[in-house]
Amino acid sequence: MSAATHGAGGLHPLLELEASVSLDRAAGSGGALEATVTGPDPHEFLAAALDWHFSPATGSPLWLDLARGLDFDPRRDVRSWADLARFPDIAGALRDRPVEDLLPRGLQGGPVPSVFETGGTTGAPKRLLYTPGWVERVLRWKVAELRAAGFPEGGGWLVAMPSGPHAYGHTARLQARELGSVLFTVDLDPRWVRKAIAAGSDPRGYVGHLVQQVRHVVTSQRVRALTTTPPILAELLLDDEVAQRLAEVEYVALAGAHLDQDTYELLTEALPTAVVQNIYGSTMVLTTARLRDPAAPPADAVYDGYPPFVSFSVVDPQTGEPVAAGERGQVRMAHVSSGVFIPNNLERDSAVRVPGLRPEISDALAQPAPLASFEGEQVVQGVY
Amino acid sequence: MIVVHATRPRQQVVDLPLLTTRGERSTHEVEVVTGPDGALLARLSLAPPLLVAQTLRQQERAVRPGPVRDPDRFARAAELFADDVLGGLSPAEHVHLVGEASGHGPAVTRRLTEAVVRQVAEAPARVDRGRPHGAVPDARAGSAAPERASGVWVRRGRTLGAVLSGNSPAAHNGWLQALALGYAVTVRPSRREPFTASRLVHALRAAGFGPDEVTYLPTSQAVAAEVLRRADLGLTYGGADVAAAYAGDPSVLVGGPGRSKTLVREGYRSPAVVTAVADAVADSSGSACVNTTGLLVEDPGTGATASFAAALRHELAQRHDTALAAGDHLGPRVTAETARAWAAGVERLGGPPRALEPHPDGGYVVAPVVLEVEPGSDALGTELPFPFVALAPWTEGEGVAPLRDSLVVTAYTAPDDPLLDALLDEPSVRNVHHAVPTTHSDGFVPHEDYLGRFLMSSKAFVTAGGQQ
Repeated sequence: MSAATHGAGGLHPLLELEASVSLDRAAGSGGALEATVTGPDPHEFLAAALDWHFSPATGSPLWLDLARGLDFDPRRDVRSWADLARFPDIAGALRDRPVEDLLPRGLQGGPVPSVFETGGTTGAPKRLLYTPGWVERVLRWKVAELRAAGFPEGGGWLVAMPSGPHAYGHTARLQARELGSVLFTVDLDPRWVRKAIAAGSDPRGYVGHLVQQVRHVVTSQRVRALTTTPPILAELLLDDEVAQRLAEVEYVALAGAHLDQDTYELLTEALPTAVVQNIYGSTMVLTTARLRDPAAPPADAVYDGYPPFVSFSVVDPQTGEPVAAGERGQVRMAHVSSGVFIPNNLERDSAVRVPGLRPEISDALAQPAPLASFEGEQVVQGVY
Repeated sequence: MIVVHATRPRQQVVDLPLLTTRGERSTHEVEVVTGPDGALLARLSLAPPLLVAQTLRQQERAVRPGPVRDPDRFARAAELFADDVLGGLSPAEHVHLVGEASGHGPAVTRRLTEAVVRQVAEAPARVDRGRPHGAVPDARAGSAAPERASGVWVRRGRTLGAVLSGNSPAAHNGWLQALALGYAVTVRPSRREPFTASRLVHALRAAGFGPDEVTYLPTSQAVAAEVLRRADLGLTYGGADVAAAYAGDPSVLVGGPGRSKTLVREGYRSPAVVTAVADAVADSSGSACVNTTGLLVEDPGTGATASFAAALRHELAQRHDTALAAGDHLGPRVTAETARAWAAGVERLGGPPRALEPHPDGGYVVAPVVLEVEPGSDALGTELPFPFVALAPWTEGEGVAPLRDSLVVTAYTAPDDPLLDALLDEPSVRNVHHAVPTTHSDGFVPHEDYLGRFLMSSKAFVTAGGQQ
C-alpha cells in the first residue's frame, strides 16, 4: 500500500479501517466472516470510503470524471448504504476505459493490481482491478470457508473453470497452494460457448472437448475435489467410468451457471460421498458470496456478502425499491474498498431477499436464478 | 369400452410424478395444470435436463437386440387403461380431468379416450403396415433353409423421445408404435393435458413393460429439446417454426400442421355432404390437424358458395346449441383470455366480432365460425383450434393448386374424377379421401407416411442356413 496522506501525514481513514478488519480473528467455521461482521462502524467506513474515492488526491480518474455528472455530492449527500443506489451503474465505463483510469490515485505507486474480466454474459466484458491486498483478503476468507466445508486438504483438486482473463482460475491456484493440494486444470472459455449458442450453433462439440479433458485427468489421477459448472458435471456423469471415479470425490463446487434443486439432488445421488456446494458470486464485486451453511442445498442456501466490503440488496426491477423480506427481486451488488468502488451494480439474476447479518449494510440472498433478459441484451447461459 | 360411472369428479389437486427408470419421482420444479375456469387440476413434476439425459442413457443400455413379439402386453395395457384405477385415478376421474385440461367436451373426451385404447391395443399391427414387402420382421425365423436371403426390418436406433402436443389426448400413435418395435421410449407429455400420457405409461408398466422400456418425463419448454437431442430418434409436433428447426435433422420427425381441406364439386352439395363437412370441421372440437380448415365449393358464379356456407353455418350452429342443451359443448371450453385471443384471430381474417359465451361448467365455449373468403386467401390454410373453416369458390380450371400443402384433402366428386388422381400425384398433399371426411381414420392408414418408414430400415440378411 502506498502511504496515501491524510491530514497530518497519517494513513487515510479508509486504509486504517480496512486494516482494522483483522483476519487473524478468523476462528474456525465462519470466522472469516465474523471478522467483517464485527468490523468497523458502517457509517464511519462509508464516509471514509466516499472521501477516498471522491477526493482529487485519492480518487480514481474514472470516479472523479463521473462525479462531475452527478446531481449530488457523494461526500456530503450519501449517508447510508441504501443511498449507494443514487449512483449510476458504471458497468459501461468498465468496458472501455483504460485500466489506468480505474486505479485510485491513493494507490498509485503501490503494488501492481491484477486485471480480471467478467464473462461477457451481458455484452462486452467489464474489467476490474484486484489489488494484492484484496486478493489476499479474499484468499483468507475462502480458505477458511473451504476448510469449514470439509475440503480434503492435500488431496488432488480438479478445477475446470474459466482462467485467462477470468479471476476464477487465478484464485483457485492460490487456494490450492494454501490448502496443500495439487491443482489440475481444464481451460474453459465461456465467451466462445455463448457466442456459439447465440449464433444458433450447437455447443455440444465444445462441451465434449471439455469433458474429454476432464475425463483424462479423472481417470489417471487421484482427484478428491472438483470445481466446475453444472452442465459440465452433468455431462461427466453420463460417462460410466468417469461417474465411477467421481463417486469417490469428497468435495464438489459448482459455479458459473444456475443449479436448480432437482439437478442438485440428482448430483448428490451420483456423488454420495461429496459435499456439493452451489457457488454464487460476481466478478463485479470481486468475489463469490459466502454460503451461510456450507453444505446447504440450493433450495435452502443463504448467501451473505462480506460487509462492509461486499453488500447485496434485492430490488424491484421496475422501481429500484427494495422488495420485502421473503420476496423475489433483482439482485443489486455493491463493492466498497480502497481499490474499487462499485456502488450500484444490477446483476443478471433475481433472488429471494433474506435478512443479512449486518442488515444496515447488506441483505442476504436465497435461490438466485437468471433473469430472462438484462440491459436489453438476451442473457445466454452456456456452460458457464 | 370406457364406462363412465356417475361418480362425482375428485375435487383435490392431483400430483403427477415423473415415471422414471427408477420408479416414481416428484420434483421441486412443478407446472400447474388448470381448467378453463382457472381451477387448479394438477401439479406436474418437471424433469431437469440431467434426468432426461440419465434416463435415455439408461434406456439405451436396456434395449435388447432382436425383434419384439408380445402383442399380448399391448392388449393387456389397453384393458388396464380403459378399466383400471391407475396412478390413483379411476377411468371416470381421468376422463373428467382430461376434459377440463384439454377443453374438449365430455362426448369428445370419451371418444378420444376410446381411440387411445385402440391405439394401444393395435400398435403392433398398425406399425407392421409400414414394413416393406421384401423385409421380414425376424431374421431368424425360417433361416434354417439353405441359402436364404431376405430383407430384415430392423430398428434405426434404440431409444425414442416423444415430445407430445396438447391439442388431442389421442396423439400417441407414434410412440406406441415405436414401443411395439422394441424401442425404449421416453414420453414428454403436453403440459396442458399431461393426464393421458401418464395413465398410458402406468397402464403399460402394469401390463408388464419394464421401467427401462417406457418412461414419463414432463419437462419445461426448454428441456423438451433435450428429450429429442438425447434420444436416438425423436417425434415432435409443431408449426412451421418447429419444422424448420428440425428440417436438417433426419433423427427427428416433426408432425406438421394440418391445413386440411375439403372440395365439394358441382352436384355434390347434398344435405348429407353438409353433415359430413360439419363433422370434418367440428370433430374433436375442431382442434385436430385433420379438421377441415379450408373448404372449396365448385361455383361457376351461381352463388353455390354462399348457399353452401349458409347451410354449413346452420348445421354447425344447431350442433352447438344441441350440445349446450345436453350439458356438453361443440367447440372447446377455454379461459376468457384464450377465447378473446381466438376471437381476435378471426377478426384479423375478416370475420365478425364475437361475444364470449360462458359455460355453466366454467370457462367459455368457442362457437363455430364459417368464414367466406376470396379464392387464394390465407385464411384457407389458417388453423385455429376450434370449429373454424374458411370457404371460397373453386372452378375446375384451378385444378389442385388451391388444395396444395394439405395433410388431408377430401373431395366430394365422382369416383372416376381425374382430380382424385391429380391429388394422389401432388407431393404436397399427404392424404386423399374420396367422399369421406378429412377427420376419418382407422389408424391403419398412413398419416404422414407410415411411421415404420421413419422408425425402421431394411437390411439384407443372407445365411447359409444349416449348411456349414
